[in-house]
Order: sequence, then structure tokens, then C-alpha cells
Amino acid sequence: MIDIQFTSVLFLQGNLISTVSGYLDPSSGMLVLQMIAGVLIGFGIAIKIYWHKLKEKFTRAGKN
Amino acid sequence: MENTDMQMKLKQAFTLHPFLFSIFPILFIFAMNSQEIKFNELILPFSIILSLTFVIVLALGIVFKNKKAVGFIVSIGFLLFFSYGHIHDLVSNNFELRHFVLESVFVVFFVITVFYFAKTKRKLNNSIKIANTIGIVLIAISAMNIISDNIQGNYSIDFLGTSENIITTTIISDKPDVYYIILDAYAGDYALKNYFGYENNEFLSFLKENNFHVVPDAKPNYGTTFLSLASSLNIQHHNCLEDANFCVGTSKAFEMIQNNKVMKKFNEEGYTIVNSYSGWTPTRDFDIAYSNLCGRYSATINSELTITIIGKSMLNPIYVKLFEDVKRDQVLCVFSELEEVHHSYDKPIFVFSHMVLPHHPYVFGANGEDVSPETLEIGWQGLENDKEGYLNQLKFTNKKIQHFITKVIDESEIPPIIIIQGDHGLKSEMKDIQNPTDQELKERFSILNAYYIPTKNELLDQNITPVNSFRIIINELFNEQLEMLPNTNYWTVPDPPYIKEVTHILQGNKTN
Repeated sequence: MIDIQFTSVLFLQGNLISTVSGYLDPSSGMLVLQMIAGVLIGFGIAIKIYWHKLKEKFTRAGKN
Repeated sequence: MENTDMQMKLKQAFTLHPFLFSIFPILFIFAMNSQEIKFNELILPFSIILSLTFVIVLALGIVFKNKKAVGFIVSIGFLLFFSYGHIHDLVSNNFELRHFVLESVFVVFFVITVFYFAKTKRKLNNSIKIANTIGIVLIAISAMNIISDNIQGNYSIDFLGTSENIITTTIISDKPDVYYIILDAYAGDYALKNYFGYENNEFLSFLKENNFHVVPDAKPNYGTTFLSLASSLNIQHHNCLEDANFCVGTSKAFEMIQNNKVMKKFNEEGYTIVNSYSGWTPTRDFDIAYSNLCGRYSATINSELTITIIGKSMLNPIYVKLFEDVKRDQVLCVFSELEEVHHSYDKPIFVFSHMVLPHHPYVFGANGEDVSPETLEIGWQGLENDKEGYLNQLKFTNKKIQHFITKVIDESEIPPIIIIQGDHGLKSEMKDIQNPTDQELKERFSILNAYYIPTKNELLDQNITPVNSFRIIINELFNEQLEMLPNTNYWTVPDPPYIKEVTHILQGNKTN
């Protein structure tokens, strides 16, 4: 899951040739996209960390 | 017992994320603009922000009982603080959003965060691991972008090998000083009349009365600063068809500007090279230059990186006030020192001055009075919203240039050579950069181009473009026989074929 998210972030980074003016570009859209990607990565790691607890919880709920 | 304690400590996550999130906004801007910013510009902002983070973490650690929660308060605080301007810009592109509203939302969110982490009883070990990983990934993405840019050949400007000052023993005391003044985005008569309905007659008459040759209907060879200057300072056209990366990236053009042939030639002929601080990285300073006028403004406070970072933070509503005086002082300093620099040297001087005038930010009124612009970033494409700002700054530029010309011509022992040139015309927004309209191209390619060469009554080429400016000057001063290149014009586009010759479109500009 992390790999997929990481690849997506790299895609978002966009090493594509863009129109260049020679002036600084704050890239606000890219920053927000990276922050969203960061949240998704965090969500992915949280699932990984809590996976056993979640699995256990759902298994118990299923048995009950 | 001690072993158990040690194991417990090792299992606990180290709070790294506040430091990662504090440097991320700076590293991100650098990664997105690594060709335009010098790497060493990062050192001071990093030192300041890391020290500040350390102090804040330490101070909050005294106030809050839960030490692990402090890191989250600091991380979220930094993210909110540095992302504010970005989010405001994105949202306000679609509908009107007052700063008061968005700042209130950010402050309320932050207060809730502080309240939650102040009260929480959770151990937060897993949360720290998650936050650390997010921080590392965000930093890694920016780092990879910087590395991949360098691998692709779009290297950072400070990794360029630059020319060094050559000390020559040639005796050239009979040569005139040479001034090459670039007025960024100074539009020609055609664009001023068509776009603004403004007649620039007073200034043009002044130039003609002072024996300047003002090129009628002048055009640059390229429509952007970096290509235009790379061409004029190297007296050559660019071959974008063979090397597309040259015209759609900036690094190679920046390298050509930094290592330009014109300065090398004058240096070899015994001239002392003088530059003035421009604020724009490729022309801010040159290793070959003996002196950098007003270089004291090159401090971090006046760097484009600092202005962009602060401008996109929660200080966005007041950042113009913080920096506008520095911008103004810098321009006034350059004008002041340009007028006097010829007194400072026994040898002839070659003076290059790239002035971000009348280009945005519009900080001067027509008579030099203080004006507060909407934004300070040089890259702002807001001409449509502030036509008056542009015109007033152009009128101010005219006055200062007139003063400079009068003073330098009057005071120079040997009549100097002066070139006053726009690098491109109007920087108005184009709806389709790949396929601009003829009118958009004509306005973008209309510039001021004026020559004061006392030893020549007339220029050989009445329609001279910047690529030939120094071919004429070098032939005149050093008895060389450089051929004139075709006065062709090119517009670079983001997709293939990357370059279009637009000479035929620009011919026959007539004022409506």
C-alpha cells in the first residue's frame, strides 16, 4: 500500500517539462497535493500499525 | 530493571517530525525552483527555522505535561503557518476569500489542536511514528526532485562553473565606458500605444535629442528574460530545435548568462566589469565582475526565496509591508551608484545593469512616490489588474534613466557607449501559451531598444535586434569584423516543437 502511495506522490511531483519563466514558482497546487498525499501515507501506515487490532476486532465481531 | 528501562526507551519513537515539518516548506519551494535558487540560500533559512523549532519545543515542553504532544502542536502549527498563503491563493482563484475568514479558520483549527494535545492521555508512540514517516517522505520527495533535476542536467545555478576576472595589462585608457542597461519588460511604442493608449513621446524625444538611435518598432529575439539575455550577452541565437531542453528549462540559459561572451570579451580587452544587484538570481552577481553595485541587498531578507516563503505563510496579508521598502531602496541604490560608478575607476568600465523595472512589483508611483503593490513576487502575472501600476513605474523609470544619461554623458571624459534595452515586452497573460494570438505576440515582442554610440552617426542595421547589439559595439571598439546575424524572433512553447519562429507575424506592427 505504501509503495502504491509513494509512486503516486512521485507522479504528483511531476518531473515533466513545463513552461518556464525563469522566476520562482510557489507551486501552491503541488504543495497541497503533496500534503494530501502525506495524509494518505499516514492513513496507510496507521492501518499497517493497527492491522492486527482491527483484524482481531472484526474477527471477534464476526464470531459474536 | 535498568535493561528494561533502556528497552522501553528504545521502543519509544523519537520526536523528529517538528524539525522535518519546519524545513519542509522551505525545501519544497527550493525543489520546485532548484534551477532558480542558489543552494547556499537555504543555509540561513534552515538554521533559523531549526533553531526556532528547537526553542519552541523546549519552551512548550516546560508548559505542557505530555512532552510527546508538544511535537504535534509544533508540527501542525508549522504546517498551518506555512501553507496558509498557498491555500488562500488556490481558493481565492475560484471565489473571493477574505484573509480574516481563512485566518480565523486556521486559528480555530490550531486552538482545537492545542486543546486536544494538551488534554490527551494517550502515549502517542504510534502517532509519532506515523508523523515521522510522513515528514521523512515529504522531505524525500523534494530531495528526489532536486537530485533528478540535476541528473537531467537542470542543475542548480550555484553548481555552474563561472568565469573569473582576468587581470590584463592592456592599456586601453582611450576606450569609452560601456553601459548595458536592461529594463525588464520595458515595452516598445507599439505595445504602449495599443495596450495602454500611452504615448511615450517625451522620453523617446529625450533620447533622440541626446543622439540616441532609437530602433523603430524594436523587437527582442526571444519573449522571456532568460532566453533574451542569454542571447544578447552571448551574441548568438539559441538552437532549441536541436536541444529542446535548452529553451524549456532554464539552467543552460542561466549558465550562458553567468558565463557570457560579452563580459569575457570586454574583460580580455582590459575593461573592468561592473554589475549591479538585480534581485534575480542569474544576473544578481557575476564572478567575472570586479564590483557588484548595491550587493549589500543580496542578504537573505531580500532573496526571492525568503519573499516567496513568507508571502505564502500566515504573514501573507502583511508581507508586502515587510519587504516593499527593501525593494524600493535597492532600485534607488542602483540608480544612485550607476550615475557615480565611472568616477571609481581609472580604467574603462563595462557596466551591466539588469533592473526589474518597469516590471512588477510596482513599488514606485510616476514621481517616485511609495506605492504598495498587491504582491512582491517577480513572477506575478498581474499586468491586466494593474495597468496603472505598470505605467506609473514606467514613467518613474523614464525620469531616473534621463537623469542617469544626462549625468553620465556630461561627466564622462570620453563619451560613453550606452545601450538601453527591454528584454521583452508586455508580460500580459496569454490564454494559450502554445498558440498565442498574433496580437499577444506583438505586444510581448515590442521593446525599447536605444543606442548611444558617439562615434557612429547611424547604426549599420536600422532594425537591429539584441542579438546583434554587441556585434556592432565589439566591431566598433575592437576593430573586429563580426557578421550581423538575422534579426529573427522566436517564441518558445512548452510542447513540441518547443520553438516557433514568429518573425513573419511581428513584421509590420502598426499602431491601431
